[in-house]
Amino acid sequence: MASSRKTGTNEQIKTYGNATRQYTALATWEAATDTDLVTAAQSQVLECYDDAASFNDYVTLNGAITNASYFRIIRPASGQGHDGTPNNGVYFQCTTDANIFLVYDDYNQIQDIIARLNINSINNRATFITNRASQAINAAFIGCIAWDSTNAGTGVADGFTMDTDVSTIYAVNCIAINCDYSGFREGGSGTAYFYNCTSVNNNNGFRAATTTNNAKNCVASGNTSNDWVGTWTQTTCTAEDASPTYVNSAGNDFHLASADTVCINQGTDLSADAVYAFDDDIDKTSRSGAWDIGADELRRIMLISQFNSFVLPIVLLFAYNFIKRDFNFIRKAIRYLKRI
Amino acid sequence: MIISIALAARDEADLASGHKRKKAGDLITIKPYPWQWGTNEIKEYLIININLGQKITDYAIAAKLEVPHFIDGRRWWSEAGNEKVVAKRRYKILFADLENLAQSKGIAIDWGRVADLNDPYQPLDGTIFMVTELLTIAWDKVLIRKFKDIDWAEIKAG
Repeated sequence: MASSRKTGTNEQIKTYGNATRQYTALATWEAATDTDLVTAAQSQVLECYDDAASFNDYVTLNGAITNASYFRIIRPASGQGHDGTPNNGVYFQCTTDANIFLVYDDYNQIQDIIARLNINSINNRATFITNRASQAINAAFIGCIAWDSTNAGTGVADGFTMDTDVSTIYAVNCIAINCDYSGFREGGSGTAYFYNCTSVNNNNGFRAATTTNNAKNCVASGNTSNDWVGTWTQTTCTAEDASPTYVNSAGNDFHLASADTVCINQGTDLSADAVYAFDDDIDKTSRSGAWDIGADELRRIMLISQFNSFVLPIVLLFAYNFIKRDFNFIRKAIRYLKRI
Repeated sequence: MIISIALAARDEADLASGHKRKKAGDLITIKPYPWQWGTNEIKEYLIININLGQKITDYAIAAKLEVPHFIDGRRWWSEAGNEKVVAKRRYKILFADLENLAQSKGIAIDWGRVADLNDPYQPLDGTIFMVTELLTIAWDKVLIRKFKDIDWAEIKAG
């Protein structure tokens, strides 16, 4: 199994949250860890605790020397992450005229964070963004949720802006909900990869400024302008004006409903993808069989376990009694079902 | 409004890549006062509190004191954010002047303990400096001078 959430080699874990944690400001951790991680043979990780309703904070990850083994990660601590919705988990709501998570450095990952930008600015800002000039080679946003980002000024607020000129950057298993401009925006001459992302109820869903992009298994729906803007290289993505069935759209729960026919089993298996192989979803549930489109994979594993728990014993009972010509097994089966 | 500021406690060596790491006095981040800093923050940073009065009354604006030292000297991030960053912080507090200011209030600062990243020593905890006092200790690396009262308008507009 290849999780979409990368772990660094020799992780040095620090904590973020209230005053009982090591850091209460993203910038102080960032300034303490912008070191030569390769020479130190360390990865620096900030594990966030859901200690507050929201954190009014932002950060620019810039200056550390990293590679594919040693890099920086911001993620929730175990048990502190979201449930695939913006309704609970580690949540940043920033009111400063800035991008909330701006990544300059290579290989850095932001994982499973909820963020919301509420500003009044002439500038366009983003909730999650890579810096084009620095290239941010192989930087990634994984399992993150950009939600309700707004700019009351003449600028806009995007969910995810994947901007690079020469490198490759990734958004995987991410969701953008109700942002006042793009859910996901692509720019620069480098290639931005959008894998199993969901963009709903934004102004536009996926917006491309160039043609160097690659969207696989992405769903856009309910975006007020267009679901897809610009030229996209798509693999098993939903069409313009698609209408998937979600569990509870009004409650910001965009897990796929079991009745959905637009996304379920319509995706491409990316577990051996040449660029970014993975096999989990926004809930860290394993994907298997025919993949679903979007950040969520319907939890078929529950159906399999239900089959194993309930149906399989009956089948075995039937077979056993059929062989023994004991047709009392029907009564036994009913008794068994009543018991469970 | 009153703000709580985390200052770099000591000089950190620059990286071979040319990246300039934080230096003693660099203004790393700002939080609204009172702020309960984390267990590492009180060891790794020197915390000072400033009453900005009516100069800045909004935390979102006060955060502009965290601006990097951009090569073009801009006061805040542009939209593209692609301007070259000379150093990650534009503003710093001059420790020599801070020491004098503290002494004027009867506070002696042990700079050896400030620089010890394992020591949760915060000699200025509970002290709130006035904005006029900030002008005597705050340094602008772009303008290569101390803050002046006229700077607030530019910071706010930045």
